[in-house]
This record gives sequence, structure tokens and C-alpha cells, in this order.
Amino acid sequence: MVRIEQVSKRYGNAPRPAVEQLDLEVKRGEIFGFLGPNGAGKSTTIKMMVGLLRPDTGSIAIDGFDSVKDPMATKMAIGYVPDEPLLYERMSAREYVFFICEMFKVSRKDASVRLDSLARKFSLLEVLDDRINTFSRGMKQKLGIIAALVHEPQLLVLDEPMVGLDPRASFVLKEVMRDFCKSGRSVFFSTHVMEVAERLCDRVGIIGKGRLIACDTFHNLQQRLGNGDGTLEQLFLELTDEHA
Amino acid sequence: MNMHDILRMVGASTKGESRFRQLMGLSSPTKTHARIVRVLIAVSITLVFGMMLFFLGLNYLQLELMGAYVGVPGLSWVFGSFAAGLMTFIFALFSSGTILYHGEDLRLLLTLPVTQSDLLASRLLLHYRMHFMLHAFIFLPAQIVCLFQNGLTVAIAVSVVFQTVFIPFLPISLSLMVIHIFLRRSSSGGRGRESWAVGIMIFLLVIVQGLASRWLQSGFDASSVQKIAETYGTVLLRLRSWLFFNTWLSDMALRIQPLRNLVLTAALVLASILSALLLMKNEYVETVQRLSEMSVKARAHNGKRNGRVPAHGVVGTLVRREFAVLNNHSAFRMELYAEACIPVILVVVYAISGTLDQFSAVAGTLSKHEFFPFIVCGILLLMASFSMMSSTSFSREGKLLEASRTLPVEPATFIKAKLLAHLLLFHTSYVVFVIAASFLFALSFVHVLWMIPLGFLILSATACLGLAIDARQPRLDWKLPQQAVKQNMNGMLAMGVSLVLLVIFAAFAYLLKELIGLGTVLSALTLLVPGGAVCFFSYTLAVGQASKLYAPQ
Ligand SMILES: Nc1ncnc2c1ncn2[C@@H]1O[C@H](COP(=O)(O)OP(=O)(O)O)[C@@H](O)[C@H]1O
Ligand SMILES: [Mg+2]
Repeated sequence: MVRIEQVSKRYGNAPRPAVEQLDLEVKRGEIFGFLGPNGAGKSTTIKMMVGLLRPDTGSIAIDGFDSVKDPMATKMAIGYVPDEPLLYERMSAREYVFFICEMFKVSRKDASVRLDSLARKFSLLEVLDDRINTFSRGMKQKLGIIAALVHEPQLLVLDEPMVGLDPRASFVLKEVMRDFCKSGRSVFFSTHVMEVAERLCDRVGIIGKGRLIACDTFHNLQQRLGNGDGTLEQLFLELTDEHA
Repeated sequence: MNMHDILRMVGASTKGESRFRQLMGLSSPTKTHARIVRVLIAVSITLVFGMMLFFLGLNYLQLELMGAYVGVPGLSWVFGSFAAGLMTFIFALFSSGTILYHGEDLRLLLTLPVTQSDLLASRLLLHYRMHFMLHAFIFLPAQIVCLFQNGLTVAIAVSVVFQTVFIPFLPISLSLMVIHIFLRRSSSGGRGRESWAVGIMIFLLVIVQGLASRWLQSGFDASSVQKIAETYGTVLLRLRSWLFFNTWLSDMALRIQPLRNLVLTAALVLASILSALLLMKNEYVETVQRLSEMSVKARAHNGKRNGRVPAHGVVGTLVRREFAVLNNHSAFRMELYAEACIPVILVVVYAISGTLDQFSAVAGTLSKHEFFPFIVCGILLLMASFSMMSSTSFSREGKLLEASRTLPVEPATFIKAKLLAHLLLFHTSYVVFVIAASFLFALSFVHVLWMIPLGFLILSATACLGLAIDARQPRLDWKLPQQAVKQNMNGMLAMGVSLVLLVIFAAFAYLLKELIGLGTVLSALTLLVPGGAVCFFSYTLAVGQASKLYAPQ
């Protein structure tokens, strides 16, 4: 579903690249967790996947389409939840979701039905017609997630999605992510909440200073490091410390 | 091209951005004093707009009459459309960079499945929407003058509608192309290059304009009335052939080969739009992506100086922050430069064109008049207070205002800092202009001595009134920085209020001099008393409004 090959990215004339020779693959039906300390290059990688940044070298293929050569097809296949919600604040939540639907060529009928069920799941039903600038941070985050799901993408890309969500919403989100993968679609998300990654992910990738340090199932990682019952947190600390 | 997507994107970016609605939302008309405020607001805005329209109209009428005298009709239309196009082009230059590359909502739009051309077209339309009113505003009086002179015909009616709606696309597309050409290959410092681009373009325009008027005047023989009429005709014809596009527009309205001119005009406008789209089509998104990195490099640059940050005290630090906010967005800097530069530009144009010599000759005779220093002072104050940017100061902070609310700082301290920052910018430039004017018109130094303190008081008052207006209803949730400055009704409002203030002071001066019979200097010194009072009053008002703004909402 996602194939990242030898991707590097250096911002402007920064002394060192934010992402360096990254290789990653996410299979169909898989939940992939992308872990790493702050500033490791998680958001940079994600922004290259969704078309906000252009890789300096290497290539990214989403659902078989090259992200630079075929941006329309890749964007069509992706639902993206940014690290900071960016919404047209003067629209109502409903208007905003319909706007996204128009852009993704979802019929109004489908849009209404999906919006209804998603809003119910995330308990936003009552405020759908309120202006977005009256929303709290968590409500905006929920709306961002709804907007990413509403056009039924093949790949869901989330950048630190749990930030700002209440326990109920983050529970719902985890459910949604699991369901999402059942039909052969995939989820790619970054996080630094280890507990979430441990419970949810089929595989995790750990990135530090722009380089991929490890990428495997949680179980295999435990085996590899030889401490059979360590938590992901311990693993994470060990791995990222070595490379510091 | 998917027109539907394009329009939806424009709609999304401009949602709720109506200036009219901002105006109407200013106060709830339940209390009497709120109603009075609303009436005052309406009056002052009508005053400003009305006055500008009236003076534009007068100028156009003069042109039209002179043209008719020498047998060249429709001159007001030619010049009106030219002035509107030129002003639109200049102002569009100032915002092109933001619209194209730095709009915050681009981060969302880039992830949507829309083609580059559609995205680009939506930005072009957005730009058009931003500047449509300006164009119409400058063009309208010329159209009215022509209408009165020539009567209502189908040709004029069609021209008014067609030209008002479609002609703005020409300067808008041109401005986008200019900025894009400057920025597309920039591998460093996107913002700096943008300022350069605008600076160079304006410089070129100034030079061309100055040279053009000098050259036109060179054929002008003012030795007798008959000579004037004769040479005027040739000069005007020469101009018409230069401004061939505007001549097409005028001829279309006056039924001189209307169809041919309609086709030519439409072709040129379409060509400009298409060439803008074609020029940028394949590298637009790439440029946006690249420039999004540049914006961060500036941060790294600031970081370098982190080693030593000297202490400045609370007010000093807040003043510096005010400048930091101004520097944050190219739109704000441009606004400031534009305001600060317009007088300089005018002077340069006049100097190159030779008008300045004639002007100071005329002024030489005028300056014997007792009231002359007041007029000079009034004009300089009008310039300074119209460009005073304090009325968008809170709005410019945008979302950061929340952060200010949490600081343990008195509202009065914020006001002091903002006042100081704006006085540093505008009173300083006012002083420079006062001194320059005193040399130009050979005014006695005594006048400089009262103009500076009087200016200080009146500009402080204007600045405080601007702050009070902005604190009352700041515009904080903008996505494009232009929305905080140019598309902010508070700016217009403050202009109206400062105009009223100046008119009152002019009346005072007249009263003191003509009716009571005080000398010029003595009247001026007496004016300092009401000046101080107004200053104090408006400062209190600003602090009051700021207290409400900074209070928990
Ligand atoms: N727009 C930008 N311009 C320049 N450098 C950036 C930009 N965004 C992030 N960086 C730098 O790139 C590195 C990786 O950042 P990021 O991908 O955001 O990390 P994270 O893993 O926390 O999401 C950091 O060193 C950061 O300073
Ligand atoms: Mg991040």
C-alpha cells in the first residue's frame, strides 16, 4: 500500500537532512505505527507522503501510484489528519465536511449518510451546524478525523492523532482504525504514546534523527533485543538512546 | 479545468470574510450609545469614501472637459481605467506572494485531489475578489463622468458592466506573473526576494511615470492660450496612443468601433489570464512546497542571535514584539513600506517629471499667505494619520492575542507599547517630512517648532483612537494576513475618525486666526491645549477598550 524507497529530505539549507535514506513498506490491511522522539522526522515523512513536501531523492508510492508523478491519484487514495487541525474556521462543521466531499467527488447523498454515522461515533452530532471557531482543540481534531474518513480513502495517514482527544474519542478512534483495516485498507500513523502503538499496531517503525532505526512487529523487536518481556516503551528508550 | 472545484475553493477561503458583515457586527444596537457609535461609524466611513469618490470624479471631469475642448472625448474613461488598472496592479503585487505561496490554507488545499491548474485558478480568483472593489472604486467616477457627458447608451451600459467585471483580471494576472517569475527559482530567502520584486517593480513604475510626464510636457507650449489648446491636443493624442488598451476601453463605451474594441479587449484579458496559468501551471505546487521550507529558515537565522538577548524592560520588549509581529508576515511589512513610501514615491515622480519645480514656484507665492503653514501641517498630518497602522494592531496579532491575554501585564502597558511603536514609525517620518517641507517652501523655522509637538499630540490621539477602534472588535481569526490589514474595516474606520479629528482642528485654527485674530504661531501654540486634551481623552479610551479586550471574555 505504501512503499517508501531511499527517501531523503533536507529543509532549505539546514545542516543535516530531516529524513535520510528512508525505506519503508506498509502492506494492505496493516496498521503501521511510526514512532520516534520529537524532531525525529515523523511529520516530515508524512508530509512527503501526502504531497505537502517533495522528497529530495527517492520515491514514494501510495496504492501503486507515485506521489510526485501522479499526485491526483495518490491524494485521492489518502485520508490525512494533520498534526495541527487546519480547518476553515468560519464554516460550520457540516459545511466543511461537505466541502471536502465535493473535492473528493463524493455524492451529497453518500456524504450525508457517512457524516451522520461518523459524527455519531465521535459524538459531534449536536454541534455539526456550529461554526468551527467555537470548537475546542479536541473537537477540531475529531472533525479533522471525520473529514479524513468521509471520502473512504484506501490509506489513512494520521500525524499524532491522539493528541487532544478525550479517552472516549481515542477509544473510538482505535476502533475505527481497526475496522478500517479489515477491508484490506491500511493505516499509517505517528505517535509517541507507546501504549497505543503496542496495542494497536501490526508493525512499528522507529525513527531517530531522520534514519529508520528499527522496523518490525513488536514481538520480533522484543526478541531481537533479547529482553523477551520488555514493554515497547523500554524498547523505544533503548533504541533511540543508542542512536542519540 | 473544473470550474465547480475552483469556485468551491474560493468560497471556502473567503467564507465569512465580508467587510460589510464585520461592520454590521460592530455593535448590537440595543443601547443608545451603541446606536450612536454605529451612526458615527457609518457617517465617518461614508465621509471618507464620499470624499475620495468626489475628488476622483472632479479630476476626471476636468480631464473630460479639457479633452472635449480639444476634440478628444472620453479622456476620463481612458485615464480612469488606467489609474484603476495601475493601482490594482500595485496593490495586487503586495498581496500576490501571500495569496500564491504563503496562505495558511494551502496546507490543506495541497492535500486535496485537485489539479495544479485548478488550485492556481482558485488563487487567481481569490486575488481577483480581494481587489475587485479597489478597481471598481477608482474606475467608477470616470464612468459616471462619461455617462453624464455622453448620455446613457447601450454601448456605455455594456462597457460599464463588462469592463468593471473583466478588466481587473489583467492587472491581477500580471502581478501574479511578476511575483512568480521572481520567486520560482529562488533557492533562498523567498520573502526577501518578494520584497525586492515589489520594490523593483514600483521603482520601475515610478521612473517610467516620471519620464513619461516629463516627455509629454516637453511638447507643451504654454506661451499663450491658443498655443496651449493646440499643443494640448497633440499631447493628449500621443497619450491615447500610448495607453492603447485604455483607449480601446474608452472607444468601446463611446461607440467608436465598439465590437472591434470589445473583441480586442476580451482577447487581451483572456491572454493575460491564460499566460499566467500556463506560466505557473507546471511549477506552482513545487514552488509552494519549496517556499514552505524557506519560512522556517528565517527562524534558524533568528536562532543564531539567540546568544545575547539584551533586556529592554516591559514596554521596550513589547515595542520590539510589535515590530516582530509586523515583520512576521510579508503582507504587514508591505503595508508598512507602502504607507511609508507613498509620499516618497510621489516626491520622486514629481521631481523626475519636473512638476516639483512648478509646484514650489506656485507654493512660493502661496507661502506668503498667513494660513499656509497650517495647510502644510494639515496635509502632512493627514498623510501620517491615514497611513497610521494602529487600527489593525490588535488584529495583526491574530491568534497570538490569546497569549497576550495570559501575560501578567496591565492593559495600559500594552497600549503604551503599541502607541510608542506607532509613534516611532509615523511621528518620526512626519518630523522628517516637516523639515523637508520647511526647506521646500522656505518656511520659517518657528513653524517647525510648533508643527512637531502639535503633530506629536494629534498623531498620538489618532494612534490611540485607532487602537481603541481595533480593540473594540479586532479581527483575529485570519488565515491570510491581508485579512488582518487591508480587508479590515477597522482601518477604514480609523481613517474616517482621524479625518473628522483633523477637520475639527482645522476649524479651531480658522476660528483662532480669522475670527479671534491671533497670529499664526500664537494660534498654533493655542492649538496645543485642545491637542493635549484630545490626546489624553483618546488614550483613556484606548486603555478602556484594551481592558475589555484583555479581560477574560
Ligand atoms: N518547515 C520546516 N523547515 C525547516 N526545518 C523543519 C521544518 N519542519 C521541521 N523541520 C526540522 O526537521 C526535523 C524533523 O521535524 P519533524 O518531522 O517535524 O519531527 P517530528 O518527528 O517531531 O514530527 C526537525 O529537526 C525540525 O526542526
Ligand atoms: Mg510531528
